Amino acid sequence: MKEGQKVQFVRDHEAPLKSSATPMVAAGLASGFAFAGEKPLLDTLEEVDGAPQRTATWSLDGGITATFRPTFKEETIEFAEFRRRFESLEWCAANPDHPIAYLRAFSDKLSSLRNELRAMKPLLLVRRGRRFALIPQDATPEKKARILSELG
Amino acid sequence: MPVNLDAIGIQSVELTLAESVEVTRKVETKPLLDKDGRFADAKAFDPSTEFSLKGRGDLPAGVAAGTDGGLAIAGITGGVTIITSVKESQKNDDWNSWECGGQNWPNAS
Repeated sequence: MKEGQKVQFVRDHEAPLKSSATPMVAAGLASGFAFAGEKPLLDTLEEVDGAPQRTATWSLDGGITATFRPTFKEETIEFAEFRRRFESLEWCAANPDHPIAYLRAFSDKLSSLRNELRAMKPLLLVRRGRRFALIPQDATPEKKARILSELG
Repeated sequence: MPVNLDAIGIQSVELTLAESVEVTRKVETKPLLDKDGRFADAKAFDPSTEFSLKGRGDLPAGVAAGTDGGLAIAGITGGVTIITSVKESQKNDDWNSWECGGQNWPNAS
């Protein structure tokens, strides 16, 4: 996050691995949009009225624009050719406006995001009045106790 | 911008303690007068929210969006948010500290 930065938030109450927001974010990244920072996902778990509530917030840089250029020719191809192009990063890089390049980029981004999300656990969100703490589930008991005591 | 084929990576938030959360909601108002020049009605428009957060640990961008339930910047999921200030300080013997502030216009696009 930087001063003057425009941020677009995408938030819902689904686990990111199941949420339709995640493929949408992956599609945005494939199209040239970018995260607002190095830690663009805030995935929290909070007890609300006795039940756990999951909230996932993606932060995207809202100051970036994407341009879609229809520079490719209409053509009819067989699956074997589609596969050859899709599997070739070189072909996609050489044809950056082609729909097959976008499909490949989307596939790669979504796979990467899902791989990283599988390794991440939601943070525990604890509120005390207007203060709140985000605590990793695997934090040591000492660390949890310290942050809870500092939360008041 | 054509397709982006670069690899991506995201980091996990390690720990965040938001110690101070200030939120100010504002609307512009326009009084409407009747044909005799008397006050007849008023319209509110251009709602916006100013926020200021201070804490320790990590400063993930999503903290600016706050969380549901009336805390922090509840309700910021759309519109335009501009970050007006960011300050992060590293410490060797304690958690890093941070401050950030910004403004959200929910009806802007």
